[in-house]
Amino acid sequence: MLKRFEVENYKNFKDKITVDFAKVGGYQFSMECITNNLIGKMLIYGRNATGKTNLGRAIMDIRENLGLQIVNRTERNCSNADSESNRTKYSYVFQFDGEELRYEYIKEVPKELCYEELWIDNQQIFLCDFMHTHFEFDNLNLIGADTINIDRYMESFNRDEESIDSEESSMYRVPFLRWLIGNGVYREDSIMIKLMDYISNMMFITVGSNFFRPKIVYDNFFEYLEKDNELRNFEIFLNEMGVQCQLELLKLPDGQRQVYFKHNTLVPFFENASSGTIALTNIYRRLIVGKRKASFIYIDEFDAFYHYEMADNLVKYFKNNYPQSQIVMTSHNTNLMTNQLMRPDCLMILSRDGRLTALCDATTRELREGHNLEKMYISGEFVQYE
Amino acid sequence: MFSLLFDCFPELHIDKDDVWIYGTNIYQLYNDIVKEYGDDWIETDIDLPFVVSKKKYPNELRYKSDFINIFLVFDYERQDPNFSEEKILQMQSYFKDATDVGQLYINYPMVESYQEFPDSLDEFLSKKWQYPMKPGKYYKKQVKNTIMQEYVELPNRFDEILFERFHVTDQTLRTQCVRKFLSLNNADTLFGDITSILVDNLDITCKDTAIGQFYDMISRGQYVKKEVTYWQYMRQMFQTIIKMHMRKAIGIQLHNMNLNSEYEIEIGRIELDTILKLQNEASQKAMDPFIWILNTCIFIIPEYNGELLK
Repeated sequence: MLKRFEVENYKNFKDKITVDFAKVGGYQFSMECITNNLIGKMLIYGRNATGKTNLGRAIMDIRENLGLQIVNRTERNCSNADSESNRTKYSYVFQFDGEELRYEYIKEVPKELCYEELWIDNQQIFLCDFMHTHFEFDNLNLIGADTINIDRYMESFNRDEESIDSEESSMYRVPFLRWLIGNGVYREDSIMIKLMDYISNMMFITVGSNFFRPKIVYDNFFEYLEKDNELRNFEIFLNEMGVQCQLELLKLPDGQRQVYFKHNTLVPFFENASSGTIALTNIYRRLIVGKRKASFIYIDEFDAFYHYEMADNLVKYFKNNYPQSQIVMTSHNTNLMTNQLMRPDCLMILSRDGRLTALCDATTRELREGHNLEKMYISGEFVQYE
Repeated sequence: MFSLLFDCFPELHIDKDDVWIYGTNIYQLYNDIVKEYGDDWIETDIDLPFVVSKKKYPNELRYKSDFINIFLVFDYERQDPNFSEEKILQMQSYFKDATDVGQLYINYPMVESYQEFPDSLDEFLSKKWQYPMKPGKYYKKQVKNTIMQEYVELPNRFDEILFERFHVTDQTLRTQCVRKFLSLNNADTLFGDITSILVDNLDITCKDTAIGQFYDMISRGQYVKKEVTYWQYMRQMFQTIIKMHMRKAIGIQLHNMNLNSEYEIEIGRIELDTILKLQNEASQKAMDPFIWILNTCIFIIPEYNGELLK
């Protein structure tokens, strides 16, 4: 699980911003928000343009290092626009069955890796300082990777240097971590396998009510719904969220599939569903299709289109169905700011100057279960941290 | 008193300029609530600032969401012709969250009870007020001249002397001087410090007399000798007093004043509505009625954060 994430000089975060999942308070309620003594369900509030989306994208950056995803396709520059430095520093601390793994790296415009370092339980495993061509690979045996062919890695990296002026140089340096995972043979219970598993099951979801997505996306979804009982499951999900409806799936003569609301005449689902229902469907589709065992989900503006009760239901759904996943949701919906659903250590405020503070640390008042957190937020109890 | 409390516990982050005070009687307030929300108000979400501002400042309505804390502080006042056990109990069980609808603190017999300064804890724990039907002024006499009262009055005394004896008419200037006096904490340099405060800030005749008088008053107070400022000293006093009253509250509630010293006195264990019921019972007895002397509004401090008593 992710224990702590830090990023410095990333987009609007000029200074270091920390997301600390280990800062768990002693509250004896809403225990479902805590998983393995780390924050499992987190809700982030913040005024507009404080960087809630940026924070999620920054966390996902590690997936790019492992070649799993291109996080910021359109942007060449991730560093803060006011900063003199064009280097962005990322730091991840993971915890897997009592072992702690720290992975840090620095990227420079445009997304060139210039520094990389891995630690396990305070033992340095490797260090690659690409800028000063300084490398340390002495401790690879600690993770059972001493057979890794370092020379070949160095070669690949030098080749890139030589062709620096050619067009191909846009292919960026392969992070050593990716090399290590891709070329090593590890025991099944190795921390490297756990790390890879975790990172490949991280996901970022932006919720839109927009139907205009590539058609293939929905074709896959419909195909998925065609499997036994899946349509029914989807229907149950919608009903649980408060959307009362019955669904039917038909295969059209041209081989296409279409989902309908069941009425006396069938009503096509996507053309007629409300924006709330579409947004809900998009979340469901992302979570369910492919049966991913999500390790970490960042859901941006997760309830932008929902009635507050539906948002409430969705959080409960996550708590019940994804007890082991770390889920970070951003929201403007203060109805969710309650101790019945969440807890003061899992409710965060992202401030305009780029600090992330849990409600329990945003006031000197001792927060108790009976407190009406929403009312306190609105009347300005935490205003210094907004 | 609240102003002093907020000065001694800056952690509450209450800026005196943001405090909005509304004076009323608890039964009047009760009637205003019923008028606005009907007889079943207890089932609804009362917006107290709205109720009181609507009545007093109809052109400048205020709402619950404008306030971080809402405190209702009233004296028990059994002698009030409008006194009603039922109404006061309803209010006590409804208003129990300062950050939301508001927190009601009833003081027995009145707010001055925090100035009680007994010789021993046992004396305080067993202390009762035997005349529940007498007006407050009788009780006030009893707490007059306790050490606590003298300390509480100190800032006002300084101000009075500056104004009446040395004719400093500028209020801001007086307040500044008083604050400086209260911030002194070094007995060795006390005389010099007082001299410079008076000489630098004020243009008064008979300076030597003034210096002598303030030197005398301040050095008589214990705080400078202990090398703490007035507020730090008062904070300690309040901490002791609050703990004393908390112990008594639990004692009343459990019908046992001789609690084991290991019993943890926590604010969460105090039930103000239970205490009110027991006070009602005790004060309406035909033979020897009484009220336990107890101040609850000082519980604002531990209610905010228990750490503030350490």
